[in-house]
Amino acid sequence: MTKYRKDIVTALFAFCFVIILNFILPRILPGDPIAYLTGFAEEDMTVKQYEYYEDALHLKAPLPEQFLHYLKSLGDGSLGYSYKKEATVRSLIFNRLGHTLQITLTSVCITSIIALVLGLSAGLSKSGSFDRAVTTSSVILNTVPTFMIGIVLLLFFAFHKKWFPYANLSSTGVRKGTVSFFLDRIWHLFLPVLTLVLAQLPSRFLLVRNLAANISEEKYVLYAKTRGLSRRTIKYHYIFPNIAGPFINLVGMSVGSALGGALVIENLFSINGMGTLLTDAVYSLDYPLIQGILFVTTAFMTLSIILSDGLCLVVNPKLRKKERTQ
Amino acid sequence: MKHRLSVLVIILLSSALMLFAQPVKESPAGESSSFAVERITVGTTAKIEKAERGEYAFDMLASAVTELPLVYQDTSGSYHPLLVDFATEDGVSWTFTLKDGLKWSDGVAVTAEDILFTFQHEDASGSAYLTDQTDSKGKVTKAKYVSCTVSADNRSITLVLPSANVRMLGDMTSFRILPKHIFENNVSPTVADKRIGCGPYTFDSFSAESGTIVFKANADYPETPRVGEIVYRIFGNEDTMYLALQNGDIDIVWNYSMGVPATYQDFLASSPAVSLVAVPATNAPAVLAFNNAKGPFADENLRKAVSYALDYDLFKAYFGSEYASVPNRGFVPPTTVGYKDTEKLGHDIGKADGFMAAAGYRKNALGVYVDSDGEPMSFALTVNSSKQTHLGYAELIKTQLEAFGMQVAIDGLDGASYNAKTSNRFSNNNITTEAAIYGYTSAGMGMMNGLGSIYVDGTHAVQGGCQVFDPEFQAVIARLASSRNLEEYYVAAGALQDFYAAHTPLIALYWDNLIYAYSSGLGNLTVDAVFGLNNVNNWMTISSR
Repeated sequence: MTKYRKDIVTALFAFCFVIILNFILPRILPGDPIAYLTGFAEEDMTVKQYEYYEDALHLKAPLPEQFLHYLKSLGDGSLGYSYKKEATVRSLIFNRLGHTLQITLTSVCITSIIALVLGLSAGLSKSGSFDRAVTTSSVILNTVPTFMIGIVLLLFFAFHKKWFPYANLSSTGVRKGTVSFFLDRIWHLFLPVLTLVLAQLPSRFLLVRNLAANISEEKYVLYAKTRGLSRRTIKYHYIFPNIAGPFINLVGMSVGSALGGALVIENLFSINGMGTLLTDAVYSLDYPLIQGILFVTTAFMTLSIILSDGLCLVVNPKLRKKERTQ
Repeated sequence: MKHRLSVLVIILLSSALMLFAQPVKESPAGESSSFAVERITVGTTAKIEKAERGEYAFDMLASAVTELPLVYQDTSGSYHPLLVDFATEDGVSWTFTLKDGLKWSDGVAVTAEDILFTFQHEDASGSAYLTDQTDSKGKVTKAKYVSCTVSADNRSITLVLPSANVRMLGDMTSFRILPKHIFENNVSPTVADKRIGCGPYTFDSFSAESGTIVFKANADYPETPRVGEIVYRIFGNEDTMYLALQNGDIDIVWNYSMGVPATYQDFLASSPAVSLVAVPATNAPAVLAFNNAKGPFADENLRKAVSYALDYDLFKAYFGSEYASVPNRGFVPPTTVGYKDTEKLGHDIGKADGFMAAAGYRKNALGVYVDSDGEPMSFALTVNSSKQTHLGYAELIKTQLEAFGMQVAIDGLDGASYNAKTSNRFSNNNITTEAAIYGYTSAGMGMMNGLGSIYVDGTHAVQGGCQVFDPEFQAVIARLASSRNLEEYYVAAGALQDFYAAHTPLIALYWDNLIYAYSSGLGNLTVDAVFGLNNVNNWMTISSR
């Protein structure tokens, strides 16, 4: 089996393991599973409430039957019920998922493009003035925590200059579906996305830059240079195809991990997203909700790993050939 | 050429964004508003997701606009009518009469049946108002009222308690009624149903994306408010919220039962755009509680020795606001109903040495107190490590007592483990702490017989951290419970404070005020003892400067 197929099988195996762990943990931990699965203390429930929860959670049924009910809740997409928030886990997650994705996907795309452009240029002119300036700045920026970047941007652009809003994703009274709403949303997303871009850029840039620097010493790049091809052609036609694999994997992993929520950003900019939902769930011991978030995050991680591995095969002819011969 | 063109396109797009994506002005309450103040924006960090009745944080917030409680308490501790007028002659039988002209926001009149229905509804959800409740372990909680009668005109309800309770109105300051015509036989009320209220405002909109909840003035309310629209803006963190207040984007800052934290007070006080109001608090933010039944502090002399070895001015200076003060030995702050002036706590090493000697300890050559077997006087101080300020209190106690000659081991625990060691409920009546740091809320201080007694009483089902089982203490509690009028309650309350002062079951490290913040552009604000600045009376008096 090739490396990529192995990676896909491992990802699927890990996904199944998380599902089983999600089911089994509240049932094997010391204490009453009803307390774990509802988030309420046993002492706070009346006999009637206790019996209701026991029934609703199918805890009187044998373990395999309980597991089937659990799988059914995953299959029908409800992902269980949060008794603390009195809503299905699906509705809680999907109300927030869009908000988080607007920030994280946008920032992943922007970061990837900037890291690629800067990384290829710096890598090709290794040890040049441009490389030295950008690499040094990246190393410095990499040491600054995300919340610090966010606070500085917030203080300067939102409170001092008043150019951008300091909280939420929309202004009050703007009708959805209008051009104003769209522009208003971009205006609100600007600072959170910029914060995440600045926080993620150094590591992405340094990876691309180092890969490009190694490739730029290959003979075919030197040959292209001596042929007098433009730097642009060398970067995007000679170097980029050869670093595409690790770059796609990096982007894929970023999408998956970004779903865990841009926790700091959401708190700082008062955005109602997955990060704040997870924080609430952990603080209020809302186990069904924690399980649901873990499930969705793992599903996205698995999917993005499979997709990025698949994409690597598509864009890299060497890998395709290797697959075929095996 | 192509490259330059793309740069030009990017510049043009960015300029367009900067030009067109300007802040969208919020729609005004009305072009020709008849209100003295068009809109008040209240900032909060409360977690609100559904903005409907039954969501705790929303209910607290809506208590000022759509879900008014029956009565309110001012900062001097007096109760006043809000939705109802109240009357009692003996403290046992209480009659509540609805104000004239009250309507639900769907146009139906508010009746006393709504109050009765709310009790019944709460009973069905596990509360014990009219019906005894049995929990999953068979423990019975007796119903609060033995009978309940609605008058023939459906405007009054009379509640009869099992014994006199002069503090009965305290429970009504957060009791919000349900519309019977909506919730009776309705197992799945709609979101719109859950937003029906009977206050001076009606629910207008909620947007999770813009983080706002808007309420507009209710034309059917018997009194016309001075503010046309109340907008609650939800923040993810306090830093941004206080900066927004300083920036003039919000008018009032509010979080239920909390004032402005000490860390923001200096910053806000220095801003001309912000005004602060200080209200004497009824909570006890910093408490050193002893285990009076087990361990070294079962000995009263050691409790007293600690009380004299601590320097309370340092706690006040390091942790309190400018309004903080050194507490009394009677423990409860002066704002408490039934407060009695007792001796002030003080730093007196001579007295502390005397109590150590009485307990059988003497100082060795290293300056450490040891007993007759040469064992040093040491104890574990339990603290909830997730509360940074509480850790600070513990560190300061440790420093001072070690300088005095006691050995202190700080036992820092996570929230769940802390509860399992310091409360009857979570420890299954097996409190193992020797001494612990607590912060008691206003609600907790006033619960049951008040004066923080639930935290001291070893027989209390939930709290009881001090593990006091003393018959003298239990007798005072019984007197508080059976007081028929305020005079009797005051006498019993005084006796309880005398007990605290004489036996030192716990110590308040400092007393403080609650600080509330609002825009300097506003005037004529009133503070509610329960809901702070977010109270319905404010919307009737507030003005722009």
